[in-house]
Amino acid sequence: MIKLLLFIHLVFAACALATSVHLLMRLWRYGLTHGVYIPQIRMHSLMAGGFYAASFFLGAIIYPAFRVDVRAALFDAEMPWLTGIFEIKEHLAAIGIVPAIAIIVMGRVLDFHCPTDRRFMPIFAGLAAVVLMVIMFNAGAGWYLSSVRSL
Amino acid sequence: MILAWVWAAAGFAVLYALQLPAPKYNPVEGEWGMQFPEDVPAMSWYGRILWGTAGAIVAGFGRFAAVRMRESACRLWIESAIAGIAILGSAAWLVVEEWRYWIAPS
Repeated sequence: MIKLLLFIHLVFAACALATSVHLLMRLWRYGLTHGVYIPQIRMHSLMAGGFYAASFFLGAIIYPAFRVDVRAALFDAEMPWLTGIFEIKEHLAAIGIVPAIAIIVMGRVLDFHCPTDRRFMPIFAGLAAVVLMVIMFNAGAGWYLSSVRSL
Repeated sequence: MILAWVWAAAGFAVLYALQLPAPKYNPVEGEWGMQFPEDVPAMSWYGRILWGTAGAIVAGFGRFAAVRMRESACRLWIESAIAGIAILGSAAWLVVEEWRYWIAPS
């Protein structure tokens, strides 16, 4: 069951990575043209934040089993630097959860046609960039950690 | 309201990074206890999440309550910069902390 949850955790992380990249690309194009890709921005912000939150939630469920069966039994004893990489991964994931929820809210709330709301676009893009950087590191670290003793 | 979310993210990051006393569970020994800064963190992630959530709520609602303050463009950038420094600084502090404890001695 834990391995199934871990696989779904991987799938959600990959989806979050892809939609975050798309979101930033759409925001960049919106910044240049002021009008295009608004439905896509709304969709990608919902998907990126949603997949991030789902992956985060699954990670929280898997964590106790990882803590005992992998970290205590293997990483701490033989490869403590892998524990350090995982600790960094979980810290970044925690810091990124509020920006992930924020980009969902902003995608729903902001009126992209209104000049008053357009001034918040750099903040929206900044938070999306934070989410993307977190996902990029965490996806790479997570894949590497799970492949240490695999084929 | 938008800036409230930015401040919530910053509040979460700062209180998460501070490593405040929190309940901890050691699954290897099967024991509950309290984690203090000088302890080696054991299952402290949930405790930090609680503190981070509290920080997000306090900072977010605090900024939301201050929404009547005049929001000039300059103020927008200043507040965003402060919150961004808090978020990135907390992340950098945590990375350095873990590097020094786990990765460097290996």
